[in-house]
Amino acid sequence: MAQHSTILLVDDNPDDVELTTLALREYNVVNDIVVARDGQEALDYLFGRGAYAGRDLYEQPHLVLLDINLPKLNGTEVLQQMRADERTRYIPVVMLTTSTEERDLVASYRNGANSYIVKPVDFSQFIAAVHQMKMYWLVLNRALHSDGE
Amino acid sequence: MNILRSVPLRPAVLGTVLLVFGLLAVSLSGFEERQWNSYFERSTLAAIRNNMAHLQDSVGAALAAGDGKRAEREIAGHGFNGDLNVLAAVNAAGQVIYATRPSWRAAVASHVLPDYDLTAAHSALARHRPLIQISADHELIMAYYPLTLSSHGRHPHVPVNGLLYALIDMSRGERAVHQAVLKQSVLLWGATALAMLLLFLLLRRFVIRPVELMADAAGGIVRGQAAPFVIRGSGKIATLGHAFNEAAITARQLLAELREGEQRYRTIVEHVGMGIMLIDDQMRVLEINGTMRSWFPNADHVEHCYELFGKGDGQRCGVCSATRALSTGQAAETVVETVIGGERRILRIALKPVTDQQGSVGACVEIMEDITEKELIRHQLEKVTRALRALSVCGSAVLRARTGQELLQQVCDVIVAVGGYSMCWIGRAGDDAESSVVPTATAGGAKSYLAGIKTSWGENELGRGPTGTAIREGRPVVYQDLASANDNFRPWREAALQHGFRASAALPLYLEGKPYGALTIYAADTGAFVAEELTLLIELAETTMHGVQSLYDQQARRVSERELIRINAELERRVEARTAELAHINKELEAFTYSVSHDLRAPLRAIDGFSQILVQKHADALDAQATDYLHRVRRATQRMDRLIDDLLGLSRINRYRPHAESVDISAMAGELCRELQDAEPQRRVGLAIAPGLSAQTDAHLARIVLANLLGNAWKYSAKRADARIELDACRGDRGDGFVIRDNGVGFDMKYADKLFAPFQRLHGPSEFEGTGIGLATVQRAIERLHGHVRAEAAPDQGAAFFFCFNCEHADGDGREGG
Repeated sequence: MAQHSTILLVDDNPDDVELTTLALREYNVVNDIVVARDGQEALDYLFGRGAYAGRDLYEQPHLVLLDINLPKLNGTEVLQQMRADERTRYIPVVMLTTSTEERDLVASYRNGANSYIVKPVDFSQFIAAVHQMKMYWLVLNRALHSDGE
Repeated sequence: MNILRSVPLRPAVLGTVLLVFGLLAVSLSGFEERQWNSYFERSTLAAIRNNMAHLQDSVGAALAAGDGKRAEREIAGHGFNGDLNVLAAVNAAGQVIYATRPSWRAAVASHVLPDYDLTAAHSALARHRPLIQISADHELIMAYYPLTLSSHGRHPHVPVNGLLYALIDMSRGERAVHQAVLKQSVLLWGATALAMLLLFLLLRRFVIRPVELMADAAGGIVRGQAAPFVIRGSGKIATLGHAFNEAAITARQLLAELREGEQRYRTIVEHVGMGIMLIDDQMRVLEINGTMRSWFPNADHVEHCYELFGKGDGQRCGVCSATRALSTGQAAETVVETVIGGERRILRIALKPVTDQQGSVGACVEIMEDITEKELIRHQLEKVTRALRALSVCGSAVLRARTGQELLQQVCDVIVAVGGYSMCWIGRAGDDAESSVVPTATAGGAKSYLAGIKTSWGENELGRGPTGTAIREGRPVVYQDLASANDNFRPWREAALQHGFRASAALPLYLEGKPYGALTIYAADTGAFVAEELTLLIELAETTMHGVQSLYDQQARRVSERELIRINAELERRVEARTAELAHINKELEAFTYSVSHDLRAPLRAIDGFSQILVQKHADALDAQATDYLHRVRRATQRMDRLIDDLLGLSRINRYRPHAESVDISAMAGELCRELQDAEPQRRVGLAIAPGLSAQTDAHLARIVLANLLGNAWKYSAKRADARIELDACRGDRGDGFVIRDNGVGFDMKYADKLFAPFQRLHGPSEFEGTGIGLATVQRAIERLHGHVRAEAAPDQGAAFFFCFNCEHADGDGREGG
């Protein structure tokens, strides 16, 4: 089932995008990774607007990895809009961020985040964390799909 | 009562008895006489008439027949009631033709017949009707009956007329019997009278006399001198006597008590300090007491009460309520002014009506009290009270007034309106050539008076008045009677009297110890200023000037206050600007901290991540030295990550809002030590945590403090085999606290001042790992908890950290000791 899972990675930092992608691919589980560089692009992808107009909306990502500090719309706002729309309401969203601030944690869960992971600076730890997360959300966890799949 | 006492009882009774009996006897004899007369009329005369009528016929017939013998028989045949002394027939010529005494026959009747009345005979003959005469003593009855003599004679057709004369003696017979009866009756009455007399004597002896004695004794008792009378014998009268004696003794005692009481009462009435007078319903004086006599020397000689007050000729006091008291029967009261001993006195008269047993008001008691002194005191008290009230109102005016001038005006107004004086003005001592007094405040229509006068406080004629003198000499000047004031007041006298001023008081006013002017008050009554009142007015003047002084000071102060307010406002504005600036900086700092936590880590992670990728996936392209450098890069980034963590922790403490609760310090320390042990299971450290330690503080910050200090102790004792960490309570100058001791490497106390500064380390990273933020964090957390922390240590001697919560305000140098 996880063979062709799509992951939407929302992060504006190219270094982080690279490292996260490396970490996601570390154990050779190949996923489709869609990267959005800001909140607006993430929503465009999810709702088939802008650059993603005409995208098949039945193909929604199986997991969204959402940074908080983003240009244009921040992670919390993206989360709000996702949870307000039938099509994206049940997509698992993992906040993947550097922030250890209480207020970010509270705002994320309040808006319907499924998980909150602080990116460790130590890359080895980071890889371990991403692997565990991927295993859980894409393998262990049964998600509810909006299209009734 | 008086009549009975003045006439002796015995003669009265005796006289009455005799009088009754005399009257009885007289009326009895009169009755007997009348009885007899009546009987005589009814019986004797009727019998005589009857006999005579019969004889008239029979004797007349016999004589007419010339039969003398038959006439004699006829006469003899008729008995008369009484002695028939004479019976004779007389012819018209007055010649006896027949008589019971033969010697009288043929004689002239009027000559021989006893008691024969010729006139009566003629009358009976002429009228041809019987006639009966009765002697005055009712003892002789003379009857004249006409006779028709027979016509057998010389003149056969003419009846020979004559008279039948009878003389009857009634002195014996029935009348005698009646008189005997009468005599017996009189005798009977006489005997009864004697019996009555005897009875009376007995009565006198046994009843009247004792009653008289009792009466005398009673009289004596009434006069207060007689003793009870002596009683002889027994019986009802004696019982009465005993009863009387007892009653008399009681009565005498009562009388004595009554007299004594009356005497006492009279003494009180006489000497009580009130005039007492009893008047009747016509206001006639019945009684007066000694006080009245002392007040009114003529009191004993006036007839009516109102005359005492100089009202004669029935002119009553206009104010007296005696009339009302007498007419309504209600107590009344009135106040009368009069002159006693040449002095005007005020009397309060209480009128109490006196009712008699029938309930009607027949008299009235007037009780007079001399209330002159009371009235005087009351009047003075009123004045003092008014002055006191004025003083009190002026006191509040001092607090209210905004300027000195306003206060002076208010004081004048109050003195007139509240103090009840006619006029008041405050004059300021002018510094012109004439030293004139300039009115600055006036009240009570003083303006017209002041407009007409001039006052000075200099040594001249216009300066010798009350106001000028008061200012110049600095003492109160009082004129109790302006009309008779000395010549010093002459320049103003006329105007003052015209305005109705009768007394004045001028009080000096001082400002800052120098004469300011005077407060002059005028009153409408002479002698208006009593001593206590003056004292209060002087106090009022002083209070006023204190107020004026204070207001002048305030005016000066107000200017500097305004400047102060301006400076304060400026300062406040600046503080607000600075606060806003600070708030802005705080916000920026917060944003900065956030950036640090978020944005500084991202590059670190990239450095670390790519370094590891290089080491792991491109190892074959790197030599040993390059690999070593990459490892150094990774260590540096990880160290920086810890540094960021610690800095964030420090900044979070600043934003954290602590709340106090009971914190179990011993338990918390134990838990932290277990975490430390878990992290380094190979270490052997001796822990001595005193049980039961607690503090009223914030648990989160307390945990940060304990975690850092225990962490340090754990870290710096790592090189000792017998590492030991203690937590205990300690008592210091600032209050109860705690101490954490270790036997680690310690430090040199000369660096103690750097200990709590951020990034300051006393050991190199090669000796001990650390960021230099830990103790700064402890310091900050302790500050947030209003506590204090300090350290004692020596190189290789271990270190001790003393800390307490909620003790920053205590005095002392913060040295705690175990």
